[in-house]
Amino acid sequence: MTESALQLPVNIEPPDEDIARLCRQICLCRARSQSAEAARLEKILRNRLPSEFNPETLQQIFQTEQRRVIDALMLVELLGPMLIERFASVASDKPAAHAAAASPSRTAARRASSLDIADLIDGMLAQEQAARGHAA
Amino acid sequence: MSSATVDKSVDKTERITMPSPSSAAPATAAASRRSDRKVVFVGFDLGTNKSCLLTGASGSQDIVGSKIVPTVVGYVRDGIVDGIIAGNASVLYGEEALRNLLHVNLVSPLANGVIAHREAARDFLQHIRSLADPTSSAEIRAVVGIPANADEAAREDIRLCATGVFDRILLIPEPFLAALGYRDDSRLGQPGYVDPVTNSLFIDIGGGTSDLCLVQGYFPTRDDQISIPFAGDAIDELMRQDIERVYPNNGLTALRIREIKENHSYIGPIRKPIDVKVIMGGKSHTLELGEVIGRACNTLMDKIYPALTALITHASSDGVVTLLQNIIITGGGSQIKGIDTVLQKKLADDGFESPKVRLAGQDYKRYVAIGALKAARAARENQWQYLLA
Repeated sequence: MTESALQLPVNIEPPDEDIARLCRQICLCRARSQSAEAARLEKILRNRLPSEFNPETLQQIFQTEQRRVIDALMLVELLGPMLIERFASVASDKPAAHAAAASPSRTAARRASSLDIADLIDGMLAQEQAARGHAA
Repeated sequence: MSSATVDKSVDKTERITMPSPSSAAPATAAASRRSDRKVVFVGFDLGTNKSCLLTGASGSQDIVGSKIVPTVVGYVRDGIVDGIIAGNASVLYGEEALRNLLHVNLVSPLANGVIAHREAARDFLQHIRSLADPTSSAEIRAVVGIPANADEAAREDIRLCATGVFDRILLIPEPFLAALGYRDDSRLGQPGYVDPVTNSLFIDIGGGTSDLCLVQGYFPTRDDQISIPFAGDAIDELMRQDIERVYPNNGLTALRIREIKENHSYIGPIRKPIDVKVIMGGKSHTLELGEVIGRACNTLMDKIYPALTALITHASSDGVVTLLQNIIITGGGSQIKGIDTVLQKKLADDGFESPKVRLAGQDYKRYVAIGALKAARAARENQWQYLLA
């Protein structure tokens, strides 16, 4: 793709999705305390807005995108640690996990002095899901 | 950029103010309502004859409530005079139902560890909820113990009966919960302490089922668990048949026979005499029941032993010697005199390496519920099943 193919003709107004995307990026930068980047994107947004663009509409778009960013950050806060923990345990148990696929009862390698109850429950739920899959 | 564009930018700056983060929309009303409710964790051993309930608040490790409730529901008979039943209640539960035996139709919601009477089970769970949360305002998250290898239909029955009663639920096999409950968290990591969750074999002998479970550091699979539909109730029935044969028309109720068993049960060589005083036809009689009791209890051993050896053979060979040192009997059946020594001797006589069978101890009624409460506190948000009414 060449640079010229990326440039928008100046006499065509950017679509609302583009404005929403910029608003979302600005909200995300603010949430991450990236004020310089937020200011830079605000300048780009100002330059892209048509002169007759309704300020109230812009407010509404900003509020919508702000809500989305907040919801997304909440999900990251909840899921992030779980995913990190899951990937870490998968990485360390990789050989055991492969053998477990064939014979889970024989290949349990955890002899830790303290076993995480939530991880054990995960094992139970995984078995239930596998059993439902076989039944289906 | 042309001067016109710059001018436009200046104009826009004056006319359009970028909203600040403080003008963000508030959290949804539903989320706000959910976050206002107190969360109560419930560890619940739903037993065929006796259930054990433990409760704890979110953010604390204390056990707030502890109750053992006979698993019975008493529907008051028609025509009972006002004032006979406290509060003129139409439904009684647990001890209160048993105390008013003459005035109620007694229903056992469970048989052999699974729900046999849905309406009574639902009523019973409602009663349990009222014990856990008298204010009826809390969000109840309950871990419920189920027999090992309970099938999907049995699990679904519990979920259906709990819908509208508990807010979230997790069903976990009882012997595994017993191991979790038996685990002494304060001794984890101490030299010489074997975490029962890492390498043990639990035998949970209840009223409806005897459940055996290998617990070796991972959640037990179906092959690691055996559930035998022979336990306390089956022993009672064998005794009833035998007593009727030896002492016809004795009129002993099921509850009285259970009481005799709980006071005099034993496993091993027949012990005689075991004299038991009973009231028959209004008159006091002494029945010699040593052989009756011994025969019935020894039948339990005949059922459990093959299942035990099957699991030992199935266990990982890496840890089987340690496993043999950690065979633990819990549940009401752990109170049968001699069950640990007889089982240990049988294993040794059959050549198993230095077996050690021990009893769970005086908290045997609560270990499943203790383990269930631990699981409730530890479960992650995404592991709970929502029960939507």
